[in-house]
Amino acid sequence: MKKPEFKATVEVSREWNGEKVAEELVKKLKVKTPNPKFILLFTTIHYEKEFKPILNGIKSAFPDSPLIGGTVAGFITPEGCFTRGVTCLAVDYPNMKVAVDVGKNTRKNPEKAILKISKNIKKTLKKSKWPFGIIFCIPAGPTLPNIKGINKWVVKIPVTNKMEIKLMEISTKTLQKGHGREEEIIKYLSKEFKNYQIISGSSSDNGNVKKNYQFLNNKFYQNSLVLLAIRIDIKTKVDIFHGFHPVAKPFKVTESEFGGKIVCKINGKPAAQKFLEIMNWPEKFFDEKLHRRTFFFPLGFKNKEGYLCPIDIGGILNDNFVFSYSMQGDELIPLTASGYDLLNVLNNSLKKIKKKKLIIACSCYGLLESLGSNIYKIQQILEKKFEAFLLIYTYGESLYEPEREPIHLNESYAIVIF
Amino acid sequence: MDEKKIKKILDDLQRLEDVQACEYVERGLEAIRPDVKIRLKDINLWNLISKTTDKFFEIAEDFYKYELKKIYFEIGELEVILTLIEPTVALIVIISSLANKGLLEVEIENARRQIVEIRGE
Repeated sequence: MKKPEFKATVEVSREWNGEKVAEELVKKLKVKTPNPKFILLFTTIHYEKEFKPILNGIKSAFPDSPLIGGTVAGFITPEGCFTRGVTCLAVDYPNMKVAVDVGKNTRKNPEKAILKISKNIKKTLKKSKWPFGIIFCIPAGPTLPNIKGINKWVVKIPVTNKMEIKLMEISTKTLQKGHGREEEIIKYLSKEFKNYQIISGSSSDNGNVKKNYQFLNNKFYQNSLVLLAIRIDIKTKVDIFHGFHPVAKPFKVTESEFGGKIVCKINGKPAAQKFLEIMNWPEKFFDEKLHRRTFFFPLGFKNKEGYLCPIDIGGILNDNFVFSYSMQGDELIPLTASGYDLLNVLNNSLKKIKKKKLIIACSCYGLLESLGSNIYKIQQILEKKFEAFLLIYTYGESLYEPEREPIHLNESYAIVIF
Repeated sequence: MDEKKIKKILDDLQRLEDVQACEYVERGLEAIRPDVKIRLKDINLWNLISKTTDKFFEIAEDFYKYELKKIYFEIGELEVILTLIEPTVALIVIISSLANKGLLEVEIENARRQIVEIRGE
């Protein structure tokens, strides 16, 4: 029996006005996919005041097509590479059943958010006959914490008894400003959806790491996770990889807090100062443009499977430094990558791929900043291999597949190929 | 060449955070500037850069056959990016020196591609 046609289209609008964005995207999408089974929609942060007309416009035109998405730092499509604009992927394929949901307050309680999603998704897809399951999700990415009213990346406060650590936890869990807890999210998702492949990219802004949003149908959220679950008769391929390698000797973390998110001591010495010594950086590098440096010099640790995981320093808190997610083990290694490394790793991972229908990829904002307009070389790589492609730039990437530990990284690529 | 279309490209660039000023320059002709208000406070500096562009075109003509694409220079807390479209045609963008440069470079490249297309019309 002939397999039905898998239709996927990726479109872009560069209009500034939300209504015009929706009008343009709807017109373009209806050409190839007049009745999509699902839609992914991403905007850069410039459209913060235009979410309502964009989402309402798309959903009015496609009322039966579930939609998820969020804000991203940029994206790559067949039309080009953009760090300002709106993009939409629509997929139509009859041998597929989909379900979408949102879990709120993921910074406060990621487990609760995922349990709620799991219940709804499993109910909707319970009777699906399609053998393979794939999940794509957009959790809220990290944002600027609020430590005792201070909204900065480098915070010095006169407190005792490690009070600053407690305040960081309060900022994330109570005020919902700070860590995205995405490594916990992928862990809970892997427990609830054991037989699914899962890929995830954290919503982002334009490198300021101040705010980001998630979309579900015609609504937008913060501090939430939006999820699309698919049952399908196509076996998808997922993978996560990065181009970094060690550039110096590892050093020992002798004290950490907040589940490995905050490093307090390196080799027994205050972590922030020791890090400056190891990197041979002046103290003035720890200013409000911290990320312009630390995102280009990630550290790395080996996870339980011995895989080298890049991790970014997101902030300085008194004598401690704060990672964007929890490290594992007690050893850190300074990492480096050239532009060639960042491009070659993608090329090598796609080497054996012959022309496929669609790739959806999440890649880190740090790589976008490093490569700049050279991301057009990534577009050229994807053009050769895929009929349709969408790569979004996010603040962290996660992956799970059965028989593999769930993993969350910075500075990486997470891909799903149809 | 459609000046209105060039202005639209410059307006879109100028609206981006961290873009202090931008203009399209062709040797011997008056520069085209965006209608959107520039952020750069020192207008004398802006005019000096504009006036000096002809000197950069002299360098550009010599190096164009070697595929010279961009010239960067820093002035104080600013960075000037001169993107060559032809040896005597350039897009000049001024940004803060610690701006999120990678993101801006993508949009500067997009502006260059659009200008090339307009010039080809």
